[in-house]
Amino acid sequence: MSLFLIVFLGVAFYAGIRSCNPDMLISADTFYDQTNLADIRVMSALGITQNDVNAISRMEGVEKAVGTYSYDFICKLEDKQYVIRVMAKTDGINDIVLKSGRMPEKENECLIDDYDLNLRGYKLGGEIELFSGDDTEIGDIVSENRFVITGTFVSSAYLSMSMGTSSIGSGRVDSLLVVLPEVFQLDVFTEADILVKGAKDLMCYSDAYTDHVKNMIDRIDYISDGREKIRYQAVIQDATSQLNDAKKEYEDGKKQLEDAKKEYEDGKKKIEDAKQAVADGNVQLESARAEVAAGWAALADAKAQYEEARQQFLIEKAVAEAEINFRLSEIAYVKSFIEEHLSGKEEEIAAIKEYIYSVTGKYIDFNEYQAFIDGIVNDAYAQINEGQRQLDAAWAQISEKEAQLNQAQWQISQGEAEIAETQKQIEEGEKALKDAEKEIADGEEKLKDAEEELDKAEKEIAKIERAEWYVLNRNYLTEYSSYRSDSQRIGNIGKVFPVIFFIVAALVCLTTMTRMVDEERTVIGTLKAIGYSKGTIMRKYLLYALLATALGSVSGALVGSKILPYIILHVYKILYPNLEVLVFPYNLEHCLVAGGAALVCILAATLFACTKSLMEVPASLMRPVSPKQARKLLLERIPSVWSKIKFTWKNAFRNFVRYKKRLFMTLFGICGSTALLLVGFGLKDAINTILYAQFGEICLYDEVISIDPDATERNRIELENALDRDSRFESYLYVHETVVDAESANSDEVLSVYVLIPENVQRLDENIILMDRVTKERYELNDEEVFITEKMSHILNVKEGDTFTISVNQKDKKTLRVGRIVENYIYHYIYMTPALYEKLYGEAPDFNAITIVNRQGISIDPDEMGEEFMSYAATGGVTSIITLKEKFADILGSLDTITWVLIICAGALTFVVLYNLNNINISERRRELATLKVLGFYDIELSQYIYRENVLITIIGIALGVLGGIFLNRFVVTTVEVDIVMFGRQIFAMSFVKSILIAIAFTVIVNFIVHFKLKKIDMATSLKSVE
Amino acid sequence: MSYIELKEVVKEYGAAGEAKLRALDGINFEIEKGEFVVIVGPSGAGKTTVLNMLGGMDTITSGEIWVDGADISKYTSKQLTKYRRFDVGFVFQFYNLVPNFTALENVELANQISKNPLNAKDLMNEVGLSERLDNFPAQLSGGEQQRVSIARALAKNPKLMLCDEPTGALDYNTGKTILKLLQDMCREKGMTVIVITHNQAIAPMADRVINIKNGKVEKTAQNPSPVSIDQIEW
Repeated sequence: MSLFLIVFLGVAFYAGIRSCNPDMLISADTFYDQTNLADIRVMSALGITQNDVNAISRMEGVEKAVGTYSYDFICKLEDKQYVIRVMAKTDGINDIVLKSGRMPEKENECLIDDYDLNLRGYKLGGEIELFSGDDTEIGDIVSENRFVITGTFVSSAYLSMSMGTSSIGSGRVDSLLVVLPEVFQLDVFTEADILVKGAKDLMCYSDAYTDHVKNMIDRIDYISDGREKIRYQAVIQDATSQLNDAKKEYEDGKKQLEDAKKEYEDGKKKIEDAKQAVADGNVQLESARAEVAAGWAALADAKAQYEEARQQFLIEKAVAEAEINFRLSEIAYVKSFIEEHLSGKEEEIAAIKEYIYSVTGKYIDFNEYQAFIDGIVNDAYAQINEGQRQLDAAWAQISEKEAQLNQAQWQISQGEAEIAETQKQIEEGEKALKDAEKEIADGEEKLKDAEEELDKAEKEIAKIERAEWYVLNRNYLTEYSSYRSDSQRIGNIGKVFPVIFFIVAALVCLTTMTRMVDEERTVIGTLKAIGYSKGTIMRKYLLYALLATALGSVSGALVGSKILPYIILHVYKILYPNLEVLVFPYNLEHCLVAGGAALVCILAATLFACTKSLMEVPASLMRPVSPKQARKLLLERIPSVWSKIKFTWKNAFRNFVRYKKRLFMTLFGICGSTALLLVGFGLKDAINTILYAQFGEICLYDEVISIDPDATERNRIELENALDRDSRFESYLYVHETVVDAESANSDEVLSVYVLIPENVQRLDENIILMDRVTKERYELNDEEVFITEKMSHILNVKEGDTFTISVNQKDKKTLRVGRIVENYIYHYIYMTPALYEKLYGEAPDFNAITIVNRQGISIDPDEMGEEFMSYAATGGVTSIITLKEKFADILGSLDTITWVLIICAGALTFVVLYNLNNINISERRRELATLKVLGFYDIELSQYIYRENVLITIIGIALGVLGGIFLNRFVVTTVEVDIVMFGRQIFAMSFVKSILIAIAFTVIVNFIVHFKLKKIDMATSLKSVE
Repeated sequence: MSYIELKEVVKEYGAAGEAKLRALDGINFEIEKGEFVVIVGPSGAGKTTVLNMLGGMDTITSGEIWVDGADISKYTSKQLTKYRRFDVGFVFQFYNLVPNFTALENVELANQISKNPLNAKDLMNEVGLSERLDNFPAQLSGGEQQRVSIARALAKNPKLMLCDEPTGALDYNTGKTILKLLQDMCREKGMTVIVITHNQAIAPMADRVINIKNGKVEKTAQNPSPVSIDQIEW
């Protein structure tokens, strides 16, 4: 039964793990074939025309050739930018598998890759808006920029979530969309996909397949020359005519601008005139105002004079009126006197005459007198009238003047309003003028830009080269090749671990069989004595072994080759979620190898044990096995050493030589388990190294802010100032970071790597340390070579001084020379100086990210950091290294399980082997031990007697195990690590201590059990004859 | 009180509840210091059981065993180990030498655990094996091995020598030399030697003969004038 179990486990493990590699490949091949994954893709910078596709289709050996489109766009989601690759739906080639929803039927409908639906929160029926990632108008490429998601898909071309590189955005394709081909507005296909006749029948990763496809590629390469030429001419013609149109447009624009300038000048002149007029008006107005003011003053004077004159006149009038009254009364008196005296006396008349004389000075009669007086009165009246008339005339004059002045005043205010109006008009005019000025300036600038563009376009046309056809096999799909490496990795593990396991199982079987035969010696002897032939007896044991082994092998192979690949492939499906097909065919080869090996091992062991026993005569078989001959050790030939060795140690040494088989098995057990333990702990160390070395010693920065591509210089400065002010940050550095595909002539793999260029090379070591992993020597970048990370150099198989090429989506290939290989654990990086970049690409790198180093001991909550800095216009995204670290810790944590499995396996192995062997040891030496007991050895002394051997074996075993473990660990670490990370190569001292301690602990536990077993040994056995 | 005294010693085998096998059924005898004692009896009489009890290799069910003034039947297993270690020397029927050690080393093994051991080489000389010190047991004849075994028992300088069928696996002559050696040792060193045998013929050489049958002492006889082994024939 135990034989059955051990064989079962050994074969199951062997066949199972061994089958994983082919099963993975077969699964992938089936999936590829089912979805008609293109064998060859032809791409060209100038696109592929329908004629090209037709030409390829007509070629012998081409099953099918289809032109199709794919183009990368930007999609914005919650402040973050994603790169989306939009592909045209194709039929019968690169088929997609619909996962949910339905196929798109209208131009504004699309499918999104299944992985992203869950990840980024797109919804079925939801809408997705695309933006152009470069200066191309989105409308030139696709007819719609908003798509309704109708379903999700998976594609065999994109097995995992890493979907390749892009020339826009972050440089990494985040999502895939599939739309109807009609959506694309391009004149030419972006690529042509080709199925090769007969390729489906071959296993996709096999050499036969690769050769078959290679043959086709060579032939396509052959025709590509002609096709390239045709395409080149077409493009040049097209471009030239476009350029001419553009030039015409430019000229028109220039003319328009000139007209505008003229108009502007005219307007300017008019305004100048108006301004002059206003100024003149103002002057006139001013003098008018002065005149009016003077007028008012004169009027006031005149009024005063008039008043004075009136007063005078009134006085004069009163005097004249008094005179008049006097004269009138006088005359009345004279008249009355005369009338009284008419008849009267002369004297009286004389008196009157005298009186008149006194008045007039003349002697006149009354009548004359009367006339005289009348004359006076009349004069007076005339005088008064004259005065009155003069006064009235003066008033009239004054009134007239006043009216005149008022008129003038009104005119002035009228003038003022007019001027204000003009002023306003002038201002408006000026404003318009200013606008016009700006417009003109803009126009000029535009014109300049246009000129530059024209220049550029001209140059570009001149630069247009014969766009080479890139005829690619499936390796250009990153997943295609990484899937192969992953399955190879499993295959590698399958080469070592099951073998170890198998060897252990075989050894255990061997001892089991040997002991079984040994224990039944007497039975064998009796049978032989009775007269059974050797063959008959042997047949019994062989049959038993055969049955157990065969049953174990068959059931092990059946179960193992189904279950183990099932588990492992499902684990790998986490890495390759789009792998739709998993098949687990029985792998006859591995089953047969495992079963056959088990059978051969065990039958040989049985045969060996049996023949040894059967060779002896029945009589000796009846007796116990004669104790093995003890031998002197080489050591004893050196008496000076030997005599110093303690007595009981001598025994231990001799026992080593005596029981070689047991010794080696024990040694193997301890050595193996120590090695496994070391591998287990070493693996943990390797994982820990990643985190602590990557984020503690190599990447010193704590935060990364990516710069929004639309950010202006001012936005940048704003952000810089904020960073400068913030006391939490120690320093920051602008870097250029983008993703490219790297490949080298020494390797088949295409690797997606980051290119990192510091703005300031001298300050790079504040953020990233470039150093040798072993010597820790630090390097500084130079302008001639690039530095690459260690894992990348392994995958591309390049050394310092070698060259490799980088490209984006197979375009724009550049060759770089490796300067140094630097320590790094996560992702792959190419480091170079800005100067080198400029030399390669002819333009300065766009520094699109800032790495920030926090001040010592300060850690910032990632959410807080993001919230704080997303508010700046220049910020495109914020990444905290803590988050990254946690993410990796999670991913790598799953590997911890493997570690624990190893540790437990190792423990079980140690325990089983040691216990089993100690048991055998004790039962074989029962008599000897019993004797010692009778002789009066204390229990502890007796245990020590056995322990000495164990301790010695344990020490040697551990020493060998540590040695083997170091190698095994290196092997395991390099085989299990995935492409994007490099595990640490170092095993920490603590791990040595731990594995040694655990190995010792197991030994101690077993020895403890042995101690009790020894105690139970019955002394009476020593007295009996054996059996 | 005698040097060794067994009083009503009973030994039963078998776990509680099961049918018990009574190996010793009330053994009584006494042995004086320096005596050469032979315990005889047919197979299955309980001789070996007596030896086991006397040698402190097993515990008794009831009764008392007095050795040199101490009741070893009351001893703990640790005390028993000490008793075996310092007071008793064993000679086994199948010699039970450690196959890994040379003849000399086998003696030294006992030497090492004893309080006042005798010189191993001298002892080897005494048993007549000075030529074969560096041979492994497998390279020695049965008689030679038994002599090594005796030397090993003596090396501890014990109070008591227990010999379980020391000649059982040996031929007549070799057996005789071994018995002679034992007798000589007893006489020369004044050691108490107890020999168990089914061979009645050698009884005359003993100072005291104890006959055991069916787990009981059938007869004890003191022999005032033991004869030398050379004079005994069987």
